[in-house]
Amino acid sequence: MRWGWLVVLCACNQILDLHETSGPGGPDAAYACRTDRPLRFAATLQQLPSPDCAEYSEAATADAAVATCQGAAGVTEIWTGTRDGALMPLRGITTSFRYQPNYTPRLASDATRLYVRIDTVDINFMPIATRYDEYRNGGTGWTLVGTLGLANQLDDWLSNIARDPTDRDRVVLLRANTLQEWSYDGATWTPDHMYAAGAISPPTLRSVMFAANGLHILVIAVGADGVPQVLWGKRDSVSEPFGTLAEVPDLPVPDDNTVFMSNDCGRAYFSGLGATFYTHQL
Amino acid sequence: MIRWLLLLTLACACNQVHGLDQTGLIYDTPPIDAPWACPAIGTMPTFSRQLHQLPGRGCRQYTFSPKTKRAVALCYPNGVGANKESFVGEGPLDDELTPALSSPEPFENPRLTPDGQRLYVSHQQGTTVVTEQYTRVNDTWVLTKTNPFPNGYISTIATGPGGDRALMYTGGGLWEEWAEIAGTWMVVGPFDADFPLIAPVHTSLSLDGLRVIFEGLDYNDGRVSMYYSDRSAVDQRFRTPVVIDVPKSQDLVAMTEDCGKLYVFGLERLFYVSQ
Repeated sequence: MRWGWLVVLCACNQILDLHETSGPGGPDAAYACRTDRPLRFAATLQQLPSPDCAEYSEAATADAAVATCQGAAGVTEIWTGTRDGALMPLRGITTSFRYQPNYTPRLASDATRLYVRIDTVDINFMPIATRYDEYRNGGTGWTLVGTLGLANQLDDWLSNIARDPTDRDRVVLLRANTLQEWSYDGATWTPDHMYAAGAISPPTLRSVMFAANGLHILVIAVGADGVPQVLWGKRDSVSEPFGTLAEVPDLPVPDDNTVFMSNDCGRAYFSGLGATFYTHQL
Repeated sequence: MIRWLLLLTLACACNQVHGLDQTGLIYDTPPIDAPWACPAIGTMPTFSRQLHQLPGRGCRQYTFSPKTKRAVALCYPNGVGANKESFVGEGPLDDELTPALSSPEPFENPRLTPDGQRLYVSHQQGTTVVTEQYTRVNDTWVLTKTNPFPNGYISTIATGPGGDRALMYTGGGLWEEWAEIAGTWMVVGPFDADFPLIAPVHTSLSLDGLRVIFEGLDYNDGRVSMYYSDRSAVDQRFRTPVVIDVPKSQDLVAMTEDCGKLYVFGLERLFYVSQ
């Protein structure tokens, strides 16, 4: 008779669609930005819920993500949401340029500021000038407050914003195949390390992103054979520059040149085929 | 009544106790009571946006034979894009492809015929594009013809009562329709008549030759989209293409014979979406 109760209890789970309890052993060990081996990622991809989005990245310390997504009538919009969650159009920001290849939206580490690249185009839709608009979130919506002075040239690429171990926001600016690290003390952006073209990677660069509190860097560079590849580098402290970068063979080069790696190096995100995916660190 | 409730309870419990999976929605197989079928001519097929990844990696430009369920593709042992070392891979569509042809010259545009028995591939020799036709003999591919048509830039290959057919890029944004008649490829169709906007790339002709999906640039607004068109018979013109809501493939797409799955390529991987 007691066995009968067990059967009935099991059946409750089935009928009510309750999840089974997990087996012994508890959750997997947390990911870590290990430095004792090359960085590798799984071949199988997981798809995020929002379709038609690209340029996905996350805030360093807040549960917030940002991407560019296709809104109504094919107009590119800035969408935000929580990490790995569904994204929604961001109020207060509209863009009308359909011809701009990248908007590189970047959230500040605490997600209170947002930077968006805006190109000015000529009659043939060719970009003739660029700027990074700065928006602030006052709690009820986003307001344009100015521009980010350090990025204003047509070939500029701004990385995502890391929160470094000294509690400063930190970005890398790619300009004319050079890399410039800048840190923010809450009022002013200050240049730190500078890397000449070809100093730590092949000389032709497409993009750069930060991870692991600014201690890891991901770069898309074009190799000597003309094939772009994802490269990775690490350092122990933001006071020292990055050394020569190594290839991450598992990561594809997406059309938007955006490969975002989570702060614990556990996931790499990229977009293609009208979807955004992530893959786990191996 | 109580007996039935008890039996139901026991039946449910069996799954739980024995660890059997629950039934649920399965996205990539057709419903039992509604098998996939191509929509009527004039109606665009619709596909889910959920992408299903296939295990193979390191290849691109997949085409496959619906009859043999095998595929050919350009494969790169050192990763997609490293185009100095490539081979034509062949094997089951849902598995790793193995080398079928290799050459010191990089291959381009491998195309498998619908019956899976012939393979067309081209490669650049100096300033000339050479196209070769290979025929399957047991488990090997034997060169049987050189330059069966003027260039290697052809769509996927359809079949029909008159033989194999394909759309062929002839330069300057123009495409022609070709068919193999009595062993010789020749221009047959009025393909180009109703494609005013764009020069299609990554052109995929359905197995029956009645549907085409391709990537195209709209000169009016600069947008690159996937387009779909169809026609009622292979001797008819295609209708004006319309934008179709499918993933923007970086390469050829391939639709199954029943329009149930559309294979797309991106991020160095092969995926499909389901009807």
